[in-house]
Amino acid sequence: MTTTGTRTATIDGARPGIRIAGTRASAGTRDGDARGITFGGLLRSEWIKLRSLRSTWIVVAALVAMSAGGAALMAVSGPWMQDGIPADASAQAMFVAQLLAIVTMFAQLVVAVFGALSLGGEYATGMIRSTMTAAPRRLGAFSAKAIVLAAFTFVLTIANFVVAYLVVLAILGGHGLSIALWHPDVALSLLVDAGYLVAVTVFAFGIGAVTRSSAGAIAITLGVLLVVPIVLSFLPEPVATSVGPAMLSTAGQQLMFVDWSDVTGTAANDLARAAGVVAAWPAASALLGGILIAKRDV
Amino acid sequence: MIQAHALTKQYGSKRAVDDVSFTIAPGRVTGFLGPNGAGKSTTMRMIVGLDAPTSGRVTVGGRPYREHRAPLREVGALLDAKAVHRGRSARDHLLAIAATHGIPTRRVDEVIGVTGLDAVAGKRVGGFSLGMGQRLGIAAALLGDPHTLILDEPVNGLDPDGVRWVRELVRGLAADGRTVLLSSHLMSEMQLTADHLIVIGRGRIIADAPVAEVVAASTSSAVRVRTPEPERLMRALEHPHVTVELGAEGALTVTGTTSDAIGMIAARSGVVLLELAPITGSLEDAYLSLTDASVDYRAGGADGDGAHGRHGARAGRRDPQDPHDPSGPDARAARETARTSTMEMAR
Repeated sequence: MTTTGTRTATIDGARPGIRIAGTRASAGTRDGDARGITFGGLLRSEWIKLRSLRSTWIVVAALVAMSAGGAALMAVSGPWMQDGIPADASAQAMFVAQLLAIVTMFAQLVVAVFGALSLGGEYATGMIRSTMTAAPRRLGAFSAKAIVLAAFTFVLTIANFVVAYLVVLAILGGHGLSIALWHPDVALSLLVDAGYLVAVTVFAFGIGAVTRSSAGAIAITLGVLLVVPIVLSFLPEPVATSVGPAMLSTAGQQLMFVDWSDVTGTAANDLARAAGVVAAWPAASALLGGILIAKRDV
Repeated sequence: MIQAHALTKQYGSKRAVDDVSFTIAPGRVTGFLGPNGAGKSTTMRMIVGLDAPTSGRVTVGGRPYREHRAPLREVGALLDAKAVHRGRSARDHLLAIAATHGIPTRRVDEVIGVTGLDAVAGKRVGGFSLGMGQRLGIAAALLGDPHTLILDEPVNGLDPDGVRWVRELVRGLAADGRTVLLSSHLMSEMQLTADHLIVIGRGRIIADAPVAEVVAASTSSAVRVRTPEPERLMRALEHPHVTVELGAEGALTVTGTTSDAIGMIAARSGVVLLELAPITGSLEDAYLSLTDASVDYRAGGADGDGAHGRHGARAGRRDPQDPHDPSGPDARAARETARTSTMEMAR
């Protein structure tokens, strides 16, 4: 292989005229479509990067396998295999929402790693220098990367939940589960869960820009998701109840286990606050990451 | 055209680049030389905006790199052959870079062909040899068909075919009217490739001049003389600044004067000359003598006498009136002279 490549180069190399002509041929291109950096181009570039990495598809496979497997396990091991499932639609919706929420608790670990790898991997391999040379204003590429990552995660997690739902339906359909995926309460749960996972992904992505390493970003993200809430719960009372709900995963769980058929007054306010918390974490992390990306030497 | 004005980069307490100004003109290959840690890479990184200058500024084609609408069409840079995600194929890597500027796929395949990567374009970069990585880096630099090329150690790891290919490529690009800035530690290769040199040491410009001038100013003009009567000629040449070494078969190596002066002195003394040949120094000699004082990292054994012995007593020609040019016998002083003359040249 190598020899062939070199040989070709040598033959051409012996006639520099051809080589220059080769370069010059596209000098016309420069005048022809003298397009500069566009945001669409940056999005396309980030999509090419995302889809051309094996690790992306490993994440997809891991996520789907884990969710489908986890959902199947929960479906077959619950008391409903004997007792059956209540026929009431809102109870069924709540049942599905709880299954999806548990799937989400596992899925957040995978998407946290996914988000952390996005920039962490570029720093680890040196690719970041190519990225920032091609888009020297940096924030364009940074935002494009965040958007592509968020959109991909959203689509992926929705698809993932659909698979999990179908698995559960296949197992429990004979035990009375009949609620449709597009039932408003179920669909809402599904969107909320997907939104939470996107928030976790973008949070990890922003942390990746701060730490400039995958390992550091994974550690911090998982710490914020899993460890800090536990530590907070051990703290003296005013702190535990006031700071606790401000944690990303705590607020996320508050949104996941909601009976959407019965949301009123103060409950709605609490949910709005929780949604704000879930949105604030990725926003803050991306903002900090963006500022550092723009300022620091690559 | 690359223009740096009072460019400075400070890392903590170390000044990697210290108040550097230069202009790199289009239409020729400018070689960028300097010891490890002299500030070459930092300067190149500042040109493409990867590092922000502590003070001063550098522009490409009249404006800072990041202010160009299509930076890849302005500058193509190979700064680090490892600036690639190892898990991605060469072609996907190039496609991703091309997409940012809307560069068509056909151009991606073109640069893959030009750099001889056809056979491995679909393979993951992690398995590439150093030479293949360099070719991919060069392919990425050529993508935008840029006016300016910046190549940091492009021949590092390339086989002799590849080295010659890079030489012809950059010479062709310069002949095409483009600006080419090239760094290399291979002095013989640089002497063949570059038209103009910028030498940097400890963050400062030591020389900025055409290759021939740098070589002439920083190496001795030794002259090889053969005569049937070496003793007579040695007596005739006696002068405090002139050293004559008697070699095999009566061949003399004369330093500190010129072949013209030797010829005239020989004629006056009636000594027959069989051979009178000026020996021009190599770029390597010039480089080593120029950067002698600014080497940060040196292998333990190569210091001191060894280095001095290698460079010998060097001096540029100062006064054409005096056949025996007044240059100090002390090696260190002679090098200082050479450096000063080049510094003047750089102004």
